[in-house]
Amino acid sequence: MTHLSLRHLVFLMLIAMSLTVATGSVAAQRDPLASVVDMGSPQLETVPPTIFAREQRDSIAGVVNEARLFGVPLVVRVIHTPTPLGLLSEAGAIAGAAPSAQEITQRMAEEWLATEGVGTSPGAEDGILLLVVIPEDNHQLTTAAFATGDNALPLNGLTQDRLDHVITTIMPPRFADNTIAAGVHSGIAHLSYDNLFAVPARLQPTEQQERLRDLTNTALLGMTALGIIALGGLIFWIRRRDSARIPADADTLSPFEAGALARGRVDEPVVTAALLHMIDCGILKASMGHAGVLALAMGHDIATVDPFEQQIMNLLAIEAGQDGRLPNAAVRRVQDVLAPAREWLQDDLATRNLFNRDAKVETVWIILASLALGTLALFSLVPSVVAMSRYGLFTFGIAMLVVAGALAWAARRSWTTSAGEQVLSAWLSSRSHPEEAAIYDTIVHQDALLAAPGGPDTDPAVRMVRELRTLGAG
Amino acid sequence: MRQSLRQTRPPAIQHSLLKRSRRRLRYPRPRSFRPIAWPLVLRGRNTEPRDRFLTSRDRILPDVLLALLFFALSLAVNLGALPTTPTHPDETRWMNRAYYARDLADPFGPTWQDYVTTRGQPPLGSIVMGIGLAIQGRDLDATGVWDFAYGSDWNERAGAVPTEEDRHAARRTNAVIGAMVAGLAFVLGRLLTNRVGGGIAAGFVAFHPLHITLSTQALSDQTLALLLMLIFITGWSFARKPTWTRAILLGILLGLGGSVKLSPLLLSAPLALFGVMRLVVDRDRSGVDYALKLLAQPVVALAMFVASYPYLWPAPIRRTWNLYAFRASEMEGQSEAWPEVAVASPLDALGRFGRYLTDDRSVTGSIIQFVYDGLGIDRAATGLDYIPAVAGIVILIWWIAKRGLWTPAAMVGLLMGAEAGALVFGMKTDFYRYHLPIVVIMAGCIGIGTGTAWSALSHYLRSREVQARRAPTAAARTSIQPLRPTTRNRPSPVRAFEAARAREARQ
Repeated sequence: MTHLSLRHLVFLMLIAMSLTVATGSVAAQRDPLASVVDMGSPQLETVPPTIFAREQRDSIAGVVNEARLFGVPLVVRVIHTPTPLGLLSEAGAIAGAAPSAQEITQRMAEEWLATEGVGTSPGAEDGILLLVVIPEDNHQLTTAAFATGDNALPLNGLTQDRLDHVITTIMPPRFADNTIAAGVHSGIAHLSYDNLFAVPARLQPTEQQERLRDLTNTALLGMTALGIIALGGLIFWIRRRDSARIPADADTLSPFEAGALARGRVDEPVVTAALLHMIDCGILKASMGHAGVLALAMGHDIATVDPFEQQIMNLLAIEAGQDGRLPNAAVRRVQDVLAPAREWLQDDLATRNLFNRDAKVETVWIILASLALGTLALFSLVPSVVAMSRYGLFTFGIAMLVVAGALAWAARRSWTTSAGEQVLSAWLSSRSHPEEAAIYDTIVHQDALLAAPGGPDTDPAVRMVRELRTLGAG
Repeated sequence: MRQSLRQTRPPAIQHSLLKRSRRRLRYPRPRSFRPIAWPLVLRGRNTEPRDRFLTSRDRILPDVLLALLFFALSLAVNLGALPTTPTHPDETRWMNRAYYARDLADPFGPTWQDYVTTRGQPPLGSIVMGIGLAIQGRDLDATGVWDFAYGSDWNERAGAVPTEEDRHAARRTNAVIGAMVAGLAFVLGRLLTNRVGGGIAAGFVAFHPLHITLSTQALSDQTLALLLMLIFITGWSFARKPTWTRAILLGILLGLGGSVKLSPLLLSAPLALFGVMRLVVDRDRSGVDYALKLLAQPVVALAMFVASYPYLWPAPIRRTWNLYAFRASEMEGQSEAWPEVAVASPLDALGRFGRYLTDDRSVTGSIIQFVYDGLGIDRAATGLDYIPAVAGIVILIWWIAKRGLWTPAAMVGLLMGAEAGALVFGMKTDFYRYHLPIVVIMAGCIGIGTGTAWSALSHYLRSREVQARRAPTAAARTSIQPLRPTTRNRPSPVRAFEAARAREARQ
């Protein structure tokens, strides 16, 4: 138990370390959804200050704050120009360059952003500035542009394409209607909506990730694949071991042995069936107390013809008091008390070649191989995730399925040899005593009782079997 | 003093001697009764024990059919109510994220990056919605998300209003899931008590107004209810026979439950504490086995939760924390935005559960209101659902006190109590849909209450029948036939013990 716990603890620590490594790899980035409402730059500035009415200013500042609440370091600047930007553009054409009004606004926005230093912190360069330029004499020629810091995009659902969509599609109709404030509000609202609900741009792997992916897809993936093949090979080899060549050293069976061979193990149902039979024959006395607690005592007639039952009697006799009663604590852990009898029967069957002699060793090998593969797969998982390698993930999934399958097979496989199956088959075809048949069926079909529904109508027989199997009351 | 058994192993029987003497042993004939497997008459056929156990399917078949019947009944009720259930803007959220189901194939794609949509809710409800829509041949990108900051016009322009066809397809998905919850309520009640308990529990769920509403809106609460039912049933099954398979299945369901609404993930903590308690109380092999399987629950549940959500993969712990923190801040924000639904304390939450499920939405309230309306009485009905539910809770506590902590009933009680506790202590905003898990828990308790009452009644009637047979009238004396041996009246081991004890006491 202690060794088992220690092993589990080490395993869990390894998992925790892996997760911590994975956590640390992305911990240095800014939380993209952390509120930046308190950033230094004011939400809205207009030149001159009287461009918008007070309600309009409050409304725009509110929607900017909504974007800031979910991590967008946004500011809005609105200016009046005495000359339409179109005229400036035409003037520029004389010198050979003909920037459009939109291009001029864009350049102005970028210069403004660089000058003001918008961002979550000095030097962060993650700010987004919306500049709206309103020609004094013709508001319908209003233009707007976003300027973004080098580290601003992509941010949540915001991409350059989505900002361009706001500038080219959302705001111009309102500007054309001469509703400048509504246009600005609508544009920022869409920006905020995209920030929250639009699917982000696909992350491009960094150079380090590319290198890690190469390593994962070759060395680690290859090692894991080899581990899968090795574990599969081990299982195949164990299954192929031909135990049928060794003839069974047995001509007949007791019903307990037959039941154990049918189940493939000497497990709790075998012991429970023996106890039930001994109670039935008066070798043991059983009673259910008022609280439904099972009490066991040695009976007056302690003669039994079966060696397995003799073993059980010997073990119970050690626990029993002077009056022959078994202490409640011993009854509660009766399966533990009788574990040596199980081992004895198991060894006996193995000695007679009815059970696989090497089954325990084989099981240990399967567990060790599974643990090794599981650990390898787990440690290949972290680089697979960091490097965004689908192949690595796929291999991890396959490895874990193989580990789960191997452990499940090792836990459930029958230890009965081919010779044991032949002897059992002969015994089943020749059994004639109803007592033997009843004991055998009590072993083989005992689990069906445990599947019965519970509640107030639980059959007392079910409760008794549960008590004898130390599964608690029904 | 108790000796160590492993140190005092009894002398081994020599195999050489055994081999010589190994002959066909004649086992003594039992004195009073047969072991549990004995030929008996079943449905008019004399069956061998093996045949009898093989026919256990026959025993289960009526339960399966009844579960299907309640599923069909609930589905019919849900589909009938579907067109008339009011539209809720939140439906767009679950419909919008239906593409999660498709994008699972691209786990490192943009869908699973860190932004509001991924942080706002875990994915399983959306994935289930996507599967439902895909099965019905609908588009998985049917709608945007309704933004509560703006009105209908703005949201319509933003593409956040789905078509009626898409909305109904999404609702039909939930109608089926809700019907599955009703079918599983029968299974839970049946396992805890009997068919009557199961039937009442399923009927309670199928006709509960809140269940019908949430089964006919495109939300994820019914998926949570389904997972909760599966968790309770698996918990029962695990306590009945604590194998690693069942333990891992329970952990997986807890993880998947967390992947719908986070709160079921928290159930793994009390389960682990329960395991520690078992470890302290019982140091024997079965106790340690049981405890280890419970201690593994948080690990298995968290692993399943992380595996089900690609968003968490790059930083499982930090991003899981982000999810919980985001939900908490969202609830705070909702409380500030709608002060009338802010929950001040756990006691306030408890009171709100009581009021809502008594005055506003209850099965008995609906029935009484129907009668009032039929009789022309102008009066608002008050529900009485809590009476059988409280009775069920009392009976459950009595069972646990009588039979012990390591029983299936105790395990179900622990899971129900922990989920209710998580809701009472964790709920900061009182939205109607948060009450559904309580309805699920109430269904289990009502099943226990009514099932036990039915059992007591049938025992009473049977005892009266026996008394009548013991003292037959002169006319009846000639007509009473001896009882034919059946599974019911054949003496079982324990009954035989009790009879023997009684005889000894008399002597």
